[in-house]
Amino acid sequence: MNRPPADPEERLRPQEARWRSRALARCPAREAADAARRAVLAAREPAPRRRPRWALLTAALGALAAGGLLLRGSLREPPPARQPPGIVLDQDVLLLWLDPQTPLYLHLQPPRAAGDPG
Amino acid sequence: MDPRQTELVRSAAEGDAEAFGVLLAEDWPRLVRLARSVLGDGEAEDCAQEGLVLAWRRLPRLKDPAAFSAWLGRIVWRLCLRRARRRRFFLPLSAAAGQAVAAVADEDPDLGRLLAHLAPRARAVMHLTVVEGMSDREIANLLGIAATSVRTHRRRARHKLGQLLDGGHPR
Repeated sequence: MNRPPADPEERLRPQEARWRSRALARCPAREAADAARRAVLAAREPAPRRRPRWALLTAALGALAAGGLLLRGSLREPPPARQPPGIVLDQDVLLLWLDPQTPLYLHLQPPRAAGDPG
Repeated sequence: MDPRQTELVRSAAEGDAEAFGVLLAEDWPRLVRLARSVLGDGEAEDCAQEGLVLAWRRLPRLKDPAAFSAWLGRIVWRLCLRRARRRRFFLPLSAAAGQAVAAVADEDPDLGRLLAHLAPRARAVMHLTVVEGMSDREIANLLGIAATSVRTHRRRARHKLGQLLDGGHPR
């Protein structure tokens, strides 16, 4: 009994030959001249504008930058009015407050009374 | 390219639609066959037609009229690749196994059908090698890859097609 050749190229040769003859026998539905005519007519219409990818990337970066600026702006806002400037913590809440007019205070303990050894 | 062809390309570039039609007489069937190998029958002619529209618009910028056929082939190839990637023209493995069984059961297995189980670039390489009889350099030029990549794609494609014909799952 004949074994099929081990080399894939040799093995597929008969099928490839048949594939080739079938593919070459099939003609396009449209004639070349008709396809050319349609192409010329279609080319007269304005080409659809494609948004380039870099424009999307720029827009995304811009949105990110705008978001960052807004966030930074909100961090620079002073705490609620009842909090006197310079005292940034009460017992239960840790606040980080940046104010260019006063130094930064950061307390992790409740404020001590004067004379309290702690 | 013969002088008459060069003259036709120049006339077409200047807006002569009839010259464009004459130029395409030989290239159009080849373009449709390439599109069929990558996309299947449904979209092939539409994609090739879209390629002609782009080619007609860009023709005035073609510097070397002798490169017209390769240049046109590249335009259609890129469109086919973009469409194939967009719709992921792949059959799932179970369908592949089913088709493989049918292909093997058929006394005359159709490799053209089994092409759907290859990646688009591999399909194009096999088609241009087997059907169009192009050299590795010509295929590399058309697809925009190295000649060594052409050989690699072809070797792997034949291995996979052989496995499908054997009725196994391609690895």
